[in-house]
Amino acid sequence: MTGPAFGVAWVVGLSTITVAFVATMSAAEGEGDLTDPANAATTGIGWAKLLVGGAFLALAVHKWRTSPRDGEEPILPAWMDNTSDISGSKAAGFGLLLSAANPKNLALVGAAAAAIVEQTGGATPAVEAIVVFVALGSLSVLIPIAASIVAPQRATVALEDLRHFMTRNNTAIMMTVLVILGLKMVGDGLKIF
Amino acid sequence: MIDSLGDVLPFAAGVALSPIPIIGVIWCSVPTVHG
Repeated sequence: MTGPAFGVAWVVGLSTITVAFVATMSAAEGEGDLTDPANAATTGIGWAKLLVGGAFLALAVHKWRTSPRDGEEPILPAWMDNTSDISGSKAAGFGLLLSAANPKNLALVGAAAAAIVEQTGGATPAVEAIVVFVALGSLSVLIPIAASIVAPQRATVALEDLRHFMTRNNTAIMMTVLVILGLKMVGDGLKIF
Repeated sequence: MIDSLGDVLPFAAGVALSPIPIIGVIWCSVPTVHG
């Protein structure tokens, strides 16, 4: 049951921080129209996007400079070396930490919350957008869990291959994601000028 | 709603495409990974 425990904790963590960000930004939106470039809250969000976008681009450069050279083994988080006796509560803890205490996720959720509040004003449609955001953001975690439950024998080989691929290409995937999102956020942030 | 979905999609993809959580969930789901 460690996989489902990880998945449930991931969804709970991601939902919690998304709702918290949207609620906080909705409160700020109550003080003015976020579609108005002259609004102080709009300017603040714009600067936040510029800062986070710049941080993503800087992190991408850091990833590139510290990426493993040819023949070097990629370094994974230390907790993965100590999972031989993993329990449901430990797996849930990892799921919660990786979703809600991950700086990259916090930045991405903050950016998504800003987009949701700008478009919906924090009203009912925001709930639908939050549900869709959490569902899409959780797909890559929920699909392996579902596969390992529905067809454990067949899924084992495919998931092992996926894990090796992700381990080998961790840095390249993260760099690509960070560059694309960094450029998008900087582009969005520049609209305040 | 549609506009906001288009705007949040890249960020949802960024969350979903993080290798460490995917490696982590496979680690937790597949017994052979951690023996």
